[in-house]
Amino acid sequence: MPLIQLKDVHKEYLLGENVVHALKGVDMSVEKGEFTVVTGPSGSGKSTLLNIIGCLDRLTRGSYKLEDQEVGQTDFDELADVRNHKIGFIFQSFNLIPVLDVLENVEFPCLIRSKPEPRKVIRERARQVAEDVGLGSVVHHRPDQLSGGQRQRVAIARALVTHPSLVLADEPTANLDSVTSNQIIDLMLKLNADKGVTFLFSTHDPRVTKHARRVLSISDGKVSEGANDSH
Amino acid sequence: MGRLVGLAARNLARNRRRTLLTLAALAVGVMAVVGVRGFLNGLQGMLIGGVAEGTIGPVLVHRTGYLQSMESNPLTPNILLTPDLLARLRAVPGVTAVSPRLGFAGMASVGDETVFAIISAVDESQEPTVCPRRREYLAEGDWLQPGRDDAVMGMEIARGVGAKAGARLALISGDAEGVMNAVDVTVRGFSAAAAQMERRSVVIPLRKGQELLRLEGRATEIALGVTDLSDVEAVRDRVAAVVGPGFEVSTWKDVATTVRDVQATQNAALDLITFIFMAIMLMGIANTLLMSVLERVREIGTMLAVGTRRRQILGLFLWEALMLGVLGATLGALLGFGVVQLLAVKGVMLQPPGASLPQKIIPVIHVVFMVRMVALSAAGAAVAAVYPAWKAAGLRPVQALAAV
Ligand SMILES: Nc1ncnc2c1ncn2[C@@H]1O[C@H](COP(=O)(O)OP(=O)(O)OP(=O)(O)O)[C@@H](O)[C@H]1O
Ligand SMILES: [Mg+2]
Repeated sequence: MPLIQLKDVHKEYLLGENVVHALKGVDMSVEKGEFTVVTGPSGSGKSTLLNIIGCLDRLTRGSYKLEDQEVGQTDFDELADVRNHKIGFIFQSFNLIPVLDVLENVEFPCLIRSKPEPRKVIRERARQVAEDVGLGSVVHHRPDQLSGGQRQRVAIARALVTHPSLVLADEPTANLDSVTSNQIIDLMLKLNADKGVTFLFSTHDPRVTKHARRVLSISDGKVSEGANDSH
Repeated sequence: MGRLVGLAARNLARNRRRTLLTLAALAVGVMAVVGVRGFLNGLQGMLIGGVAEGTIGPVLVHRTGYLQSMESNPLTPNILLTPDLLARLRAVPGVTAVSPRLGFAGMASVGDETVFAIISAVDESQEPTVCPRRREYLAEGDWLQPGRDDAVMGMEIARGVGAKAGARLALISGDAEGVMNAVDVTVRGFSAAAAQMERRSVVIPLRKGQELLRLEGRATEIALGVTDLSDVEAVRDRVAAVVGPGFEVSTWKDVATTVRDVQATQNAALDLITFIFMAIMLMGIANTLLMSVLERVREIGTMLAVGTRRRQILGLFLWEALMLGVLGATLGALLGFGVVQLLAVKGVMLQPPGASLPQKIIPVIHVVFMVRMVALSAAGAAVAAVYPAWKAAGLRPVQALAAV
C-alpha cells in the first residue's frame, strides 16, 4: 500500500470568469520512507499539488488516498486531526509563531490537540527533536533571534515532533543562500536515512534536484517521473 | 485552553504601544464612571440623609387616608397615642426610636412681625434618635430641652421676623374644628435648611402642638428610627404587620418622592454615560483586534495548517479581548477608587438648591460597583471581539498561508 496515491487529480481555480486549470490529471504515488522532489518552473502547479497532498485544499476531480483513506474531497476543517497527526509542514518563509521560543514553536502541534499528552512528555520530545536538527543551543531563542537557516530548522523540528507519516516542504530553500540550502537539504536527507522520515518537497532550483533519490517533474499540470530536460 | 491563554497574553505584549493605548482608553473611561458614581453616591447620600435622617424620618406611620391629602397638612385622620401602640412599635425588630409628631401650618409672630410657618410638633427626646441630623442642621443655639416650651426656627424666617435667641414666639393656628388658637414658645435654636421647603420650619415640643390644636394625646404621624437605613422596606413591612389595618406605613422613599426621582434621574444619566463609553470602548477593542488579525493572517494560516481548530483560533482572540477588557477596567476601577478616596479625605462642599448653607459631600464607592464595571467591560470586550475573532477563524488556509 503506497503512503499516498493520486489518481487523475484535477484542480481548477476560478479567476473572475476564467477557469485556471492548474492540475490536469495527476497520477502519482509515494511510498513510505521515500525522499521525493517535485520540480517544475514557476506557475507549473507545485504549490497546488502540495496543498492538496497536505489536505489544505480540496481537489476538483479525481481521487487522493492518504494511507488508504480517501481525503481529496473532504473539507479542510474535518482534516485538522489528519494534518496534525499524519503530516508535517515546512514552508518557504518558515512561518514560525513569533511570540513563542524555539521549543514552544516545536511543541505547538502537540499542544493544540484536544487530548494532549502530558506537558513533560511533549517538552522532552521537543527538546530531542530540536537536538536532532541541530538547535540544541538555541532552544530558548525567539524566531527573530535566529538566522534563516536556524528558523528553517525550527520548522523542520516542528514538522517532525508529531512523528508524521509524511513531511511536505514547499520550496523550503527558496529563502536561503546556497550554503544554508545545502545544509537544510543534507539535514532532510539525513533524517530520511536515519529515521526513515518520508519527505516530499518542491523546488525549482535544479541544483537541489541532484541530491534527491527520486525526482518528479511537473509541467502543464501533469506529473512525470524523472528530472525534466528543460532544467 | 490554558495554552491559549498564555499565547493570548504574549500576543498582547507583542504590540506594546497599541495594547497600552487601548488599555489606557479603557482605564480612563472606567475611572471616569467610577469617579462619577462615587460622587453621586456622596451627593445622594447627603440628599437621602437630609430627608431620611434629617426631617422626614426613615419609616412613617399614618392613619389610612392621611397620605392622600398630606400636602395640606390635615389634622384628621390622626392617631390616638396609646401606651400599648407605642410599646408595640418600639418592640418591632430594627426600630430604634418612636417619635409621634403633629405637622401643620400656622402663623409665627415676634412682636409685630408675622410670617407663615410650617410647624412640626415633635417628641423632643425621641426625635433626635429618629432624625439625628436635626442637631447637625442647628446653625445656632440649642435643640428642644425636655419639659421646656422651646422652639427651633429656620434661620431664614427667624431673620424675617427678627427673632433672636430667647425671643418670645407666638404660634397661631386653627384646631381640628377650625377654631383659632395660640401658644407662646421661646426661640432657642436656628436651623439651616437642607432644602427650600424647610426654610419656613418651626419645631416645637409635641405637647405644645397638642395644646395649640386641642389634640391632647394625639399625633398626625409617628416617625420611626431604624438600625439600618438600607433596610427600611423590611422594617416597614414588619411595622405594617404589627399595627394592622387602619394604618398606612411608608418609608421615606414613598413620601419624599422628589429625592427618589432626583436619584433615579441621576442614576439613569450615569447609566447612559456608561453605555456610551462602553460603546466607544467596544469599538476601540474591536479595532485593535481587527488590526491584530490582519497582521497575523499568515500566522493564523500556519496554525490552521498544523491542525489548530477554528474554535481554538476564535478562543485565542476572545481571550485577548477579555484580557484587554479585564486589565483595562481593573486599572480604571483602581484609579477611580483612588480618586474617590482622595476626594473623600476633605469632602466636596456643595450648596444644593434651596439649602441655607453649603453641605459637605463625602464620595464613596462600593466594591460591588467596581466589580460590576470590570465584569461589564469584560463582557463588552468579548462582544467586541466576536467580529475580529470570527474573521480570523474563518480564514481560508491556502490564502492565509500565501499572505505576506
Ligand atoms: N488561488 C488561485 N486562484 C487562481 N489561480 C491560481 C491560484 N493559485 C494558483 N493559481 C494558478 O495555478 C497555477 C499553478 O500555481 P502554483 O502556485 O501551484 O505554481 P507553483 O509551481 O507553485 O509556482 P511557484 O514556483 O511560483 O511557486 C498558476 O497558473 C497560478 O496562477
Ligand atoms: Mg509555489
